[in-house]
This record gives sequence, structure tokens and C-alpha cells, in this order.
Amino acid sequence: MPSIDDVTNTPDELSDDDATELFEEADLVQDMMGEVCPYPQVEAKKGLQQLESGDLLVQETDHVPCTENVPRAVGDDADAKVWRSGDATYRIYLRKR
Amino acid sequence: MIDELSPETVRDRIGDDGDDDDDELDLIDVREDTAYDDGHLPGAEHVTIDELEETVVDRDWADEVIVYCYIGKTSIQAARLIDEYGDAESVASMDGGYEAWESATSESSLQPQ
Repeated sequence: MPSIDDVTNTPDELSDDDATELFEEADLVQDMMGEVCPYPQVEAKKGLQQLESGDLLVQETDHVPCTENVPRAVGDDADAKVWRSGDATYRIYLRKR
Repeated sequence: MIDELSPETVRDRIGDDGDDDDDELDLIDVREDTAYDDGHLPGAEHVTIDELEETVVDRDWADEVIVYCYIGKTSIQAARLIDEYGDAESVASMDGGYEAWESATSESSLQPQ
């Protein structure tokens, strides 16, 4: 069956190991499960404002479009990577520049 | 690449009387149920992303499809999905979403429940 995942342009993907390791060093984790645009974008921007350069913000989501729209919304403020769990949940990793 | 149409262009396209039996245009609202119930564009059909995934291939799409969401981001992905799997000739997203529509048009242009 077609999936919105097929047409969502996400940033580089993390391996399971890297995703797990990075998740443990996250400075801020935002649970965005069940949330849809634009709320996660707003929260990501606010979250990054609280952090220092080099800090890591991680958003957990089940809304595939966010894996493209959140990194695009924060733009040059952070380097973004995405992790796919394989069971319809995702993490967006934002390293503040 | 999905075209992004301004709310004004969309309004002109659907016509001031909100003619909703225009079979050359499918106007798709992909927001959540409550948002759609609170207000939507005249003639807009409510299709969630999940429903879109299930129906996009088999549905007989109008020649032209315009998709909108809250702020015009998820609607781009939804439009890509229709463009990729559907049989429409042109698929566009409404720039700025319903939020932009509301500020661009008066309350009176919204179709009541």
C-alpha cells in the first residue's frame, strides 16, 4: 500500500546503534507522538532556543511528514538526522549549530 | 515538484459560490477531524493521511487536485502521494494552509457545518 513515507524527503538516517547511543546523550527530548504539524515545528524551535551550540534535541513522533517538515522548519539552526524504528515511530535528531 | 498555490488563487479556482459539484477539481483537506468540523474551505472533502494512503491508487481523481492542511507543509507530502500514485493531471498544495486561508478571506467565505 502506498505510504506517505514514500514521498517524504527526510535528512540522513541513523543506524539503530547510533540512534540509541545518541539518544542517551540527548540534552532535550520532546515527545511529539500523536502531534501533527505545525506543533512539532514550533516546539523544536523553542527547544533549540533553550540549548547551547552543540547540544542535542531529539523529537519522537509518529507523524511521518514531521521527519521532513521539522528539520526544514529549524533550517540552519541545527544539523538534522532521522531514525526510523520500523514500526511507524521516528526520531528526529537536531544538533544545535 | 509540487506547485504551491496562494489562498487567493485557490479561492478564485473554487469560485465565490463555492461550487462543490465541480468534478474537474478535488479539494482535499488532510487535517484532523475536529479541525475540519470547526471550519473548512467551501466544497472541501475531508481525507486524512491514513485514508489517503488506503484510497489514493483506486480512486478516480479529478483532473485537478488541490490539497491543504494547517500551514501548508503536510499538504505538500500529501500532494506528492497523490501525484505519485493517483491519476490526476495536476496536484497542488495550498501555500500557508488553512491558517493562511482564514487570514486571507473573511469569515463569511467559510462553508458552515
